[in-house]
Amino acid sequence: DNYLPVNKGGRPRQHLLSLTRRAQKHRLRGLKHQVKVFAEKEEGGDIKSVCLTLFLLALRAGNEHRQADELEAMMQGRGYGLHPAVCLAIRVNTFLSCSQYHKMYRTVKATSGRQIFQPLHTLRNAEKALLPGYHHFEWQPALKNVSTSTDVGIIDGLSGWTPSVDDQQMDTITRRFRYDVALVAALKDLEEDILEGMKEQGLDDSSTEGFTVVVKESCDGMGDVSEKHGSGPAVPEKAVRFSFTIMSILARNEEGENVKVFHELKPNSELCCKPLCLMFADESDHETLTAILGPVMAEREDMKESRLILSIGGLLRSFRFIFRGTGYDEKLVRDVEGLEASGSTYICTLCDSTRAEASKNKVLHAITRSHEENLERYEIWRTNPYSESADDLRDRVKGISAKPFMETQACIDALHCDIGNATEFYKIFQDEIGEVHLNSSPTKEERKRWQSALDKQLRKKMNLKPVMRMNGNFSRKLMTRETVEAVCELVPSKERQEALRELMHLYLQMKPVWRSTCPAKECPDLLCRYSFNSQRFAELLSTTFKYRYDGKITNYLHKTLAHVPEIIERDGSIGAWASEGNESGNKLFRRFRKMNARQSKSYELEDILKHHWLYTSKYLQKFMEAHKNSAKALEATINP
Amino acid sequence: MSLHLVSAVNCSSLIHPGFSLMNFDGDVFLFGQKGWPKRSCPTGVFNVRLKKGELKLRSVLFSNDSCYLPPLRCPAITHSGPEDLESSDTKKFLIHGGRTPNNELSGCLYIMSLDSRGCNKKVTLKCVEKELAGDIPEARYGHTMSIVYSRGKRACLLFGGRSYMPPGQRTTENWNSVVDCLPKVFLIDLDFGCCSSYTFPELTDGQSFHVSLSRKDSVYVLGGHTLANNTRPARLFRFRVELLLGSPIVSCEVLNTGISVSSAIVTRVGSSHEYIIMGGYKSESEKRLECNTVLLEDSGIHITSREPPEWSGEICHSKTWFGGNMGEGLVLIGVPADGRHNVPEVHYFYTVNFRQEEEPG
Ligand SMILES: [Zn+2]
Repeated sequence: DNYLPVNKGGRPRQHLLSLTRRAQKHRLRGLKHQVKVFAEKEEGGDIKSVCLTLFLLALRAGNEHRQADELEAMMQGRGYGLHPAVCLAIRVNTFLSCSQYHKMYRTVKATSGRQIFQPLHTLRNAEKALLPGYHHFEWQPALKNVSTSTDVGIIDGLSGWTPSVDDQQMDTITRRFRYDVALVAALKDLEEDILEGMKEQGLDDSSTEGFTVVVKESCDGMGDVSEKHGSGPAVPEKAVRFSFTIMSILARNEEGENVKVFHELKPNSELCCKPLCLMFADESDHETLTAILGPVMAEREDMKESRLILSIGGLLRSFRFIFRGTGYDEKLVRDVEGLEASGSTYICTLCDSTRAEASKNKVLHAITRSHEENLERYEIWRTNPYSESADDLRDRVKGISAKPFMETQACIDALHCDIGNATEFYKIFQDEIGEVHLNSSPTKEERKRWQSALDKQLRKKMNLKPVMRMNGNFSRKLMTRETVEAVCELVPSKERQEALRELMHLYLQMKPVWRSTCPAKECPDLLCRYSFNSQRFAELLSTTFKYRYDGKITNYLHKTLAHVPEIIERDGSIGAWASEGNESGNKLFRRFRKMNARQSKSYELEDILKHHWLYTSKYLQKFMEAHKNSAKALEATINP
Repeated sequence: MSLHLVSAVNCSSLIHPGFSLMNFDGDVFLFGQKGWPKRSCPTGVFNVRLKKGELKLRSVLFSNDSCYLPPLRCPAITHSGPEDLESSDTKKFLIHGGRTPNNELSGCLYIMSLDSRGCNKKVTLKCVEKELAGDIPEARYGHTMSIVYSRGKRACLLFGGRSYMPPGQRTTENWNSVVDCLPKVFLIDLDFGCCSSYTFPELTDGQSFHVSLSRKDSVYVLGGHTLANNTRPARLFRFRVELLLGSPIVSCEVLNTGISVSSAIVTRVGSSHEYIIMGGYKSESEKRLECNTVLLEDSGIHITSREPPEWSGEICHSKTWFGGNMGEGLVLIGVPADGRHNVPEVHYFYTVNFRQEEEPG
């Protein structure tokens, strides 16, 4: 800043504002003394007010009214402008595009004469620091298959796939962050929380070793995402999203124990489910899925063997990562782990049980499957070392006939478990209305009649409209005492009504155990009774409802009855590891796409990825929380 | 010569670019399905049936002493057996390399043969993995293999192809980038699986998606694509192999009568070494709609152009096409059906019949 020198008695001297604070103090010491004397004599010692008023008068005298207004506003405690992070938070949370934001910024500035919102370029600077690629970091040892550059932003998920007529064409568009770079940005976003957590746990602020980050991974295909706009190649009207959530961060204390310095309280919220990779592709297109997620998995496998060195609170600290892929539905787990599709006799992604075995013995099964074993089994399948027939070989490898390419954590996805079981209850209700236990081979027409009777009753009594495909909302409303009462009105036999009531009662006692984030705290009694309840539930299925469960059982009922206690014992929760955050993220994907993205296929994924990432920033969320009212007021101005 | 549209019944999603066809005594088998094999056909190998303009696939079983190879796109595939005139062996298909559905490249050699014919024409195939030793060719795809005979012995010559970036250069940001394999010629001893490699000053660039034809001790490599400079030079090499005891000798001769083509389909017509080359690409933006007849004689190779079938509009206008040789002058080709609304199929399929006597596909 070039402040011109001023004259003092013909002798040039440096401009006041170009001096250091110390020199300024020196130069104004005489004036300060006089003002102090004046203020004490005339204004009760309020030096600040005297100076500000003097400044204000000087501005008005110089006709600099805008600055004077802002100063006045500041003096009245109104503030003269919002923090750039607040503006960014508002923009992202209200799904404003750049041009929409700019229009608003201009309007507010013109009507109020004040710059309340920050201009776009200020926001861009603010978002740079939040997006992956801003912070420097290092891995020890360096990651084997990952380039050493750290300033990597959004990259093309095709990872160097060059289209050529001789090679297979890749009909997809995809954008992603590099996994390690994204994790760094996510950790930096949590910097304050980590430091606070360390203080709370009484940890020495200077401890730099022994941090562990636990990450939940989820991936899900989205159905129809067709949009009419956009140039570029024809891509499937479907999308796949891969996301991660930082579940907890542990640090080692002086006793060598791991204590939690960060713990995600809402692990199923879309606010903490960070997008990593977006693609326009069909999730069942295995070749495309593996080409795009292959490098992501390579990054992950490398990170498992290495330590991240990152500055947190001004000190370089070392982090190790634990990845747990639990946020997948069964279809995807089977596809990426090499298991036959869901209709297979090998009904479980956790144990080797066949459908027949699982229906005979409904509750006693242990988790035996693992990614490593799946890989070994595929190699057995491929080589057939004992020269067996296809059937014998299949039994030996328990249905693993494709090479796994992604490690998932053997778990139950609570959301899909809920949906799968509700689907089954919906069918039980129909069977009970039609008294299938008396008539084992009903016709199609009969079944249709029972279904429409059930739908009518649900609509009338529960205000539940029939859906094409079971979803979370429908299942929540279906699995209630009220629903079972409504259904019982259509069930002729008193005895069977009772059985149906008991079945639902037991289910409702079991459900919180695998739905809650921490069952030991939220429903300790139900957790204790789980095995007892599931035993009784299984008994009912084998006796009263034998007509449905003789030799067969659905995949999710098996998991619900056989595997819940073991997983809770292992992980402490099933619900926390569900895929709901990613599913809610799907809704955000649609919203961001509609409101935010540039209207071109190649750019829109970048915009969606960027905005979705910012949406999950805890740093921005804090600002948003503090300025809820400004956001509301803003929304009112935009959508009156 | 004729072109026929065939409709793929319930199987069009399985057939995709990079598949291979094998013909055992008139029975045609499809290998290299899209995705991993499903429960309905755990082998991933299908019997291809053409009847009344309909293309149907029937699942094929493997014998108990078989292994279960993954579906492979763009492997090198060739056969040895009675059709080579020089051999009295039963017919066998050799499959090397290729891309798996997980986009990994295979470096394995599999040998597929006819195991038995049950009732109702149900065929059982046998698939075994041949262990390789010595100077093993790295995992690759888009290359070729040919059988050569010399001094009463035979060997397999492997050339070209693409692979991922070498270790140390492959990062997750260029994970799917491919490069030409080094222009080395590999000889594989089919009895012991021993491999040896040969380099020639004449071969400076790697190449892939070329045509290889062999007769006796000679392999002719025709056309192909070089990734390094993205060209399809009108190249023609002749490799001659002498299978001396202990150390075979391979020589390379550059001929200047080649054609510019990549990914062409080759089918054999008649009982002599007469082949037809069709399909493929002249450049990244131009399909090669012309056809050639290639005659291999003891003295050398003769390439003449030949009238192509009357291509349909869909074929003429599509950017890409792909296909395979069903044997005896019959070729199956596929054309992407994208860009058209309300078309449930991914591809349109045609057969081209080059047989002397015309019979509808
Ligand atoms: Zn199980």
